[in-house]
Amino acid sequence: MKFLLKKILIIILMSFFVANISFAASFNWTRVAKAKDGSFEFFYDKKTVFKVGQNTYFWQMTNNLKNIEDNVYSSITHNMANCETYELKILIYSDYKRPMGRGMFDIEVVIPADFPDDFEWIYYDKETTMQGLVLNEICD
Amino acid sequence: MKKLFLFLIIFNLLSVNLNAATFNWTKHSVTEDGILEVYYDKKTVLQVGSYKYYWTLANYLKDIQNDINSSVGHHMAKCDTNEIKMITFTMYDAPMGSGNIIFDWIAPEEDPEEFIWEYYDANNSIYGSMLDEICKIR
Repeated sequence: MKFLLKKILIIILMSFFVANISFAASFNWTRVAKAKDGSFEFFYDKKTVFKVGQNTYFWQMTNNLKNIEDNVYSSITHNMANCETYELKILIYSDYKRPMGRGMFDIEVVIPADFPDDFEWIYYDKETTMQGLVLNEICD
Repeated sequence: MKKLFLFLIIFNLLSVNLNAATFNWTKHSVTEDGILEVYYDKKTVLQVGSYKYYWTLANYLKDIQNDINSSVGHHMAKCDTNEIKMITFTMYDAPMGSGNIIFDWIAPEEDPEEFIWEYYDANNSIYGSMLDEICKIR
């Protein structure tokens, strides 16, 4: 019995270290919501949520499940949020030819540099919008 | 043995939650003149598309100006050319990104002409050698 416990202990220790090492450079997506019509689903990575200054920053991933255009199946964004007003701005956008931010990437842009007119605060209701649900999670 | 087993499981679960919204800075180095020390957070180093993204912290140790004692920033980098673009800056009146916020700065919004790729030599600059270290992370 003692031998078995030791073995389990070693496995737990090893998995703990491996999990921490592998996390150093990979996302760990948590699904927040899926659109009622099933057209897309939103994920964010809990470990990327940081309050810095007035804003909260986090990485988000969207899977496009229906009505796929230009072969874009998913996108990853780095967002900044104002948790007091439930407003959001997208800083970084990149999209992919496969779900879950995999496959060939197509567009990679820094929104305030490449599309300054689109870099504006947008309000999302936490009851009625999916992005609002994400904000509710990250701001909690 | 059972206690240790239980402790490890609880510790693992807690550490996952504690990491959710706090930086875990790794000190990289101090400049030769002792003016600046820089840190980065290993767990924020992420490859997205062609670029590496990561959060950094700088402590200003001497010649403090405008009461700025530290800054936290989000950077994007090209590992093949050792070039960096600094996306955000937040300045604080105390070390380690603590104290009052002096200002928040989104570089490409506030100063788009200055939002350009800048080369940092891995041997001659602390940001360059830090990037070199970051690019070696899997």
